[in-house]
Amino acid sequence: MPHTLEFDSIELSFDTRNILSSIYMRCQTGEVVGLLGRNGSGKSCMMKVVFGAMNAEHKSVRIDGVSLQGNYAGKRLISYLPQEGLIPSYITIKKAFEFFNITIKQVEKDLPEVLQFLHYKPRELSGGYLRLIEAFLVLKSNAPFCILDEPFSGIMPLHVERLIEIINEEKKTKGIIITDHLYRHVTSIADALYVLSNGKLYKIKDKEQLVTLGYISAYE
Amino acid sequence: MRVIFAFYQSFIPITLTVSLIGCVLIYHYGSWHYAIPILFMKVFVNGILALYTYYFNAGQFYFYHNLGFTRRILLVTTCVTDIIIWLLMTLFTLNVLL
Repeated sequence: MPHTLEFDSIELSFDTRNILSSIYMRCQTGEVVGLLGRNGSGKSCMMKVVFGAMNAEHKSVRIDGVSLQGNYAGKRLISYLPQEGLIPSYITIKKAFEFFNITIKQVEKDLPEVLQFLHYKPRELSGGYLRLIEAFLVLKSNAPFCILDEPFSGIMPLHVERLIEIINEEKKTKGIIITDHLYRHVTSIADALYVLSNGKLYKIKDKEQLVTLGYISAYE
Repeated sequence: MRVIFAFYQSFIPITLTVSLIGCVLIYHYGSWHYAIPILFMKVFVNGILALYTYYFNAGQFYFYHNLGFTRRILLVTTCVTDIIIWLLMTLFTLNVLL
């Protein structure tokens, strides 16, 4: 039976600037939901609020209709890849895998070339490899829902393809919300697409809407 | 507990130095009275470290949040763990003196 993550009534503002207003989104296990929006539109804030790492004036986050109240981090129902890097500088890649209950066998199967970096710390890795490993950690975590904020950022095309394969594998059992400015990658894997614009969320049905909402130009 | 100790790793060089200075003072002067100012010193240093981490090294909290630990739980548990370690070190030093 598929699980459903829903959130709505998210209200967030900084001083007098309204960032998010009456947001509603739904994501089921077995699907990838793409989130697009211009820089500064509030995508990352929305993801942090849903993950529980940022407070909002109001929010309602539900899984299978059950409201997640207070501090729900301990339930480990949602995993999150932040835009700004995930693994602390003093933790080795091997330790990070252990913390996320990912076995070396799994790494060997899915990302064999990462095995050479197991004893490295994040600063000893290239940005692209680090991002790939961080996205892998979040996707392979036990949480039924994953939120990925710019997972393709800095990753070479070959690894982007591999990451897309892993996302497609994981979506069989998980619900994945993804945002990235490499929007063609997002649109290619997303089962549903939303654009965040002026604090409001719009469900996208065709490419013209992306133009209308000012996310891409008419010549794209 | 291993998650807490992983987070505590980033504090160890400073907090352990303060604890060791406290033990050296107690051992050198042979008086437990030094434990009191050192306790205040530890609370102060831990407070500064917690504030620094909270405001300038906040990115790492997402890692721990994914593991089920919020920043408040992490900071409070780490500070308490550090005080317990300091207390054990101080008791050990006093034991050596006696």
